Amino acid sequence: MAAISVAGLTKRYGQTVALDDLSFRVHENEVFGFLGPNGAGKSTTINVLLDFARPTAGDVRVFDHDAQRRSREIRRRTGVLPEGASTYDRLTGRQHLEFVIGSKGADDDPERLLERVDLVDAIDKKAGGYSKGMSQRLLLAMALVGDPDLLILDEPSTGLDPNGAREMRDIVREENARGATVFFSSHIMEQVEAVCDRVGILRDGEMVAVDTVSGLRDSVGQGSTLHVWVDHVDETALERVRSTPDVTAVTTEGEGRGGESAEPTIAVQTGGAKTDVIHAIESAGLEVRDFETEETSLEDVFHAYTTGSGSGAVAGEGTRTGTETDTDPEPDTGATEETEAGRR
Amino acid sequence: MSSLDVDPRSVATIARKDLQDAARSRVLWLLTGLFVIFLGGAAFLFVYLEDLFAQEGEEVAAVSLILLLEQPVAWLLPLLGLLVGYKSLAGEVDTGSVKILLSLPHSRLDAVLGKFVGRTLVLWASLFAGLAVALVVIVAFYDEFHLWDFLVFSGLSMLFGAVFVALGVGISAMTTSTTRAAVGIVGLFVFLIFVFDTIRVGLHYLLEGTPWPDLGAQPPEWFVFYPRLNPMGAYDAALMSLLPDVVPQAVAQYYPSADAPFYLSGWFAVVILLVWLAVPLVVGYLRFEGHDL
Repeated sequence: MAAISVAGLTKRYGQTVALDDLSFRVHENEVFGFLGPNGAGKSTTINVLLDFARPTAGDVRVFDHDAQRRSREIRRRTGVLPEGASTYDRLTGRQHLEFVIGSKGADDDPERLLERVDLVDAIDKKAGGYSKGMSQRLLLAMALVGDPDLLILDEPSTGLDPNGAREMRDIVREENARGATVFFSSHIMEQVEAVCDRVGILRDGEMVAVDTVSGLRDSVGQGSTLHVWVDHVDETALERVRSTPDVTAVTTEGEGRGGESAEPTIAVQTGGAKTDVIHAIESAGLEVRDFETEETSLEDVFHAYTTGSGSGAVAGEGTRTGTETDTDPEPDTGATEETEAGRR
Repeated sequence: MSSLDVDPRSVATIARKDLQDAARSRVLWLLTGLFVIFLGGAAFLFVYLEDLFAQEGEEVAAVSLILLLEQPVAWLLPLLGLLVGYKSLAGEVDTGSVKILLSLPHSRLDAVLGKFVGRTLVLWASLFAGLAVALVVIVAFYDEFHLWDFLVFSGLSMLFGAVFVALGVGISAMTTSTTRAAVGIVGLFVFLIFVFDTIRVGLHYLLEGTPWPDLGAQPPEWFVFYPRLNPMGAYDAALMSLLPDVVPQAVAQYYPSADAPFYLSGWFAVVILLVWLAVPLVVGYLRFEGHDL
């Protein structure tokens, strides 16, 4: 039985199509990353799962219960960290948790819950005085009440500093180890790659890829890209590099590092040893002036799927002309930024 | 969700949370202050007037305590009931906290009913404070006290207040926006207080040629019944029918007793109040149920 099963889900708001024939399944006891740029339809999907919004068409089931007709049973077994939900200003952290504990008929200890999210010092303070990060911690603690079978976390890292985001991921792992299924939405690939068994990428209301993290990486680009700056380029050298084992693509670039000089560069995509490539170039008589490698980051994967023409976009032109070695996972959401407000 | 999905425990949990929330709100203390001032003030006025009349040798109970208490309550409860209710659901939709509320195993009907119960208790708590002060004033300064009258008055006032909380919560559930809900309650208040009776006067003018029946004459039955369609009129009619001793002689013909048709009875006025309580909640719930958050 799938924890979540979505089949042919379409949701229209007037003329706007928020979700278009969306289908995917989340297996029991997996951590599923639900990834997509803002406005792709992640929140709409979650709203349908929780019966906040009603589908235009399609079948949505959670624990094999119909998401509309059996919503109460679903929500009894689900812990939710909603996106963009403000806490009750005049209630304390403790009162929030007592409300959730009472609502779910659970018997958790509010202090224990807030210890887990590192907020126990503020337990008797009004939530109206909490910072964004503190509110987010409180909401996470509220989602954990009653050891739910399913955790739905909608953009849980919002407002958290890197330390808080890491603690949040630790809690996701603990909950998963306990047996919970985790459905985790984010617009930042880095947040999901560290914890998710599988990732689904949503774009314009459609699922463009569902795979494991390594599967996604493989589907988009092979291993790493090696940039080699040489004194000149000739066809023999290129031929030798192409025949090196595990090399999948070889291209040349006229421009040099930072675009300031015209040093020729050979860009090689390889799944094998970089030294083999360097040897091949040198044995053809070229002088290697410098080289660097660039891992295909998941951010590139995400980018490939959510901008341009989708899958395959990166495979052919996965090289960058920048100088840094790309271990920097900084999200680049500039190209995909789009507010979700218009769809609510 | 399917029809009438109510879990009493959910309703109670939501009501309790709402009460906790309200207990820390300045609004509650403001309401309580208003009830204490107006009901305590009415009680003092009663004691003062009784004293005055007694000195001039008038009959005891020339003024009625209940009539004096009814005046402030008849406009305070509608105003405050609407104010207490109108943000209940719309406010949660506006801030997004409704996603916390409804991510828990509560149905939307639980939410509407829980809010209604919670906010009604808030209003009643303030009302009780005012009634208690009035009671203390009467017992301390006056030698005669009709407990039954006071209890009937308190009970009907509680129902009357609950009607306006239901209207406020219903409008809140219907509009799902604080701004629209505010417009809704102001419009309703103006209609019920200022417009509603003007229609009756207009109709009487068209039918009878005068705005009002002559003083002392028996008005047409529809003219007696019409104000009872309004919750303020129904409250007044129920109070006067259940406490006939209180009715001033000059307007006795508006509160017919035993032999009147059933729809002019006090109990029917209570039924009208109950309809005013139930319909807004049902309509509000139906709109809220169909709303995408």
